[in-house]
Amino acid sequence: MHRGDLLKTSIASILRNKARSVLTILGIVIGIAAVILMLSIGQGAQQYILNQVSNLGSDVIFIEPASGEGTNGPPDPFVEQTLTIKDATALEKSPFLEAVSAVYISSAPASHEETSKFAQIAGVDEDYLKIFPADIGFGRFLDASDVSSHAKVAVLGIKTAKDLFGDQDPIGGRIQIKNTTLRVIGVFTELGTQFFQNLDERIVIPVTTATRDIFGADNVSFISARASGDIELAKEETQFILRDRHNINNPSGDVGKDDFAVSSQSDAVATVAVVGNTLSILLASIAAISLVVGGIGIMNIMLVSVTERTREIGLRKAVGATRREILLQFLYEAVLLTSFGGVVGVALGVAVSWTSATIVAQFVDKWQYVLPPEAIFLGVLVATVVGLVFGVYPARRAAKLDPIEALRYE
Amino acid sequence: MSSIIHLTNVVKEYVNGDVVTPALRGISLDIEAGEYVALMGPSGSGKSTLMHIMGFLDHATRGEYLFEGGDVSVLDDDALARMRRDRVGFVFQAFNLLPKTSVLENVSLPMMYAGVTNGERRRRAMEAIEEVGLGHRVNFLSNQLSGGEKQRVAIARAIVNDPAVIFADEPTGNLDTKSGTDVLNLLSDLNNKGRTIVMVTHETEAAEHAKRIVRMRDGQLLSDLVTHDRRTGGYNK
Repeated sequence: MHRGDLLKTSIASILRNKARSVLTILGIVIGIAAVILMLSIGQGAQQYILNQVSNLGSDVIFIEPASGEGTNGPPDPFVEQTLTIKDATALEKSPFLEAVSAVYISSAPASHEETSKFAQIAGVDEDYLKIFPADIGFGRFLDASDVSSHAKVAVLGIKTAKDLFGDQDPIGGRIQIKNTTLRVIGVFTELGTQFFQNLDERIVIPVTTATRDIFGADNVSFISARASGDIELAKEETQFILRDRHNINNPSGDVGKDDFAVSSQSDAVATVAVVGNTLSILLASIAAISLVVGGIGIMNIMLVSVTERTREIGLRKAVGATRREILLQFLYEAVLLTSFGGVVGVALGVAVSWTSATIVAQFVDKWQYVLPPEAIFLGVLVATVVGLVFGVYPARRAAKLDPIEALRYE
Repeated sequence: MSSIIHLTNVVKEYVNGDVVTPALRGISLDIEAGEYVALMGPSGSGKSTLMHIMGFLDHATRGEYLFEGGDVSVLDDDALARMRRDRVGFVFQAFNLLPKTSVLENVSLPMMYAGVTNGERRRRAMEAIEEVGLGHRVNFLSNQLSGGEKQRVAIARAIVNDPAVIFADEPTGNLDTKSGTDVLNLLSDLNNKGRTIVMVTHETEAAEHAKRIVRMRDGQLLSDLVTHDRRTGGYNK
């Protein structure tokens, strides 16, 4: 028998029972669509996180309080606060760092007249924008004298400015945080999110004002800096200066003894990549389980089909079909069904993941639709393999049927 | 005439655990080209088993089976499948047409397994369909046909590879008298054109169409009676 005829026979058998064929591939369609969706979401999340971290620039250094493990990532609220404004001042003198800013992060209700809103408050130094560049839309940013004099001034994120002042000009306006009244001196342009913070909702004030005057804190949340030359040298210099200031005897450079941790953007990117990959693997594994379930569904329905078509198989054998021809016919049927299911599943997966990414993008700024092109190819390939693996057993059953018994089968 | 089927002392035993059930107890039979043989007997007589062995659907346990002079016992499964494909044709009681498939495709099926080209397949299928008088039903689906028509499609399918023998297993068992007679007349026509037919039946009326009646009981031949060709006006039962 020619291959083409075998293929035609299989296609004819599939089309002869359309309803069952559709039901057969449903599991595969959903399984492949789930894999595509999960891959797309996983990669989208990873891409999003990487964008958040990597647009800081590769020469940005973070110094965070640490309990000895050494951390990468956002400040840990449960660690003893060890960094001070004076630490930042000391680091400013280093030739390896071109800009240093102590940062105090908190959140509190901010109000203007009758309007109030819960906002993130960032206390920073005048050099902050040299590390985290942002444009001022109106007015000006903090200057050195604002910081040194504990000035009661604030620069608003554009959304906070709109929320509090509405159509009024916010420059020169007064806002109240806790019991302190601050004068608005500037408004940022629209900035979006960075490090998962919506910068447009932030209120930036001098770090001195934030710590001593408003929140009564002795320490800052973290210190950020921009290296002027080699980033590894800058990190070492930072560790050296801070160990000296914190009286830590640590000539061997064991970060476990430090009460702070120095990390760079590239460390953060590496961590995020690992997390992202783990996330992708996890999501894909869950989706893979649905594929196995789909494959078992295929096997089940193929077995039913073999039983139902026992007489057809007997007849085919009576007119001269060999075992191999029967085996191939059923195997082709399974593989044709599943690879078609794979194509449909990929199409469905692309549609659903694109839709969901579009919806997510409404809520999460800069979220992008990501679909690795190899996922399409892989989806169809995996579906085909599933058909092959789960089709073999029913096909063998069909091939092994005794023609006499098969012909008599009621 | 040369002998197509030559059976000598053929035994078929079914073994189930320690129990051996004999189905054929030493059958010796010769069938020559152009014969029309009716194989008769009550159920359990072994007539179907004998037909399955002669039709390459089953192996004899012992004894010699020569088909067109060749030893069948040495053939493996694939070789038996090729013999079924090329040398014999089957007609079954239940028709066994492919469901929801056209008359043309049903008749073409054996040629597909034989690897006949598309055009040739169509030409020969049309020829066979005309021969059984269903030229007007070529594109009908199997489920749109009457019982008699279905059996005629099955006969067309049986002859399409130009076999040496046609085996008909109770071909009228599922048909009313009129359609049954039509089918039997068709088989007689085919025999008159020179085709060799072996028909398994338990109906005397059906067997009367044959030119030779072989009766079986308990796995053995009971009688082997050659009736005269009715066309020659000779002895008729």
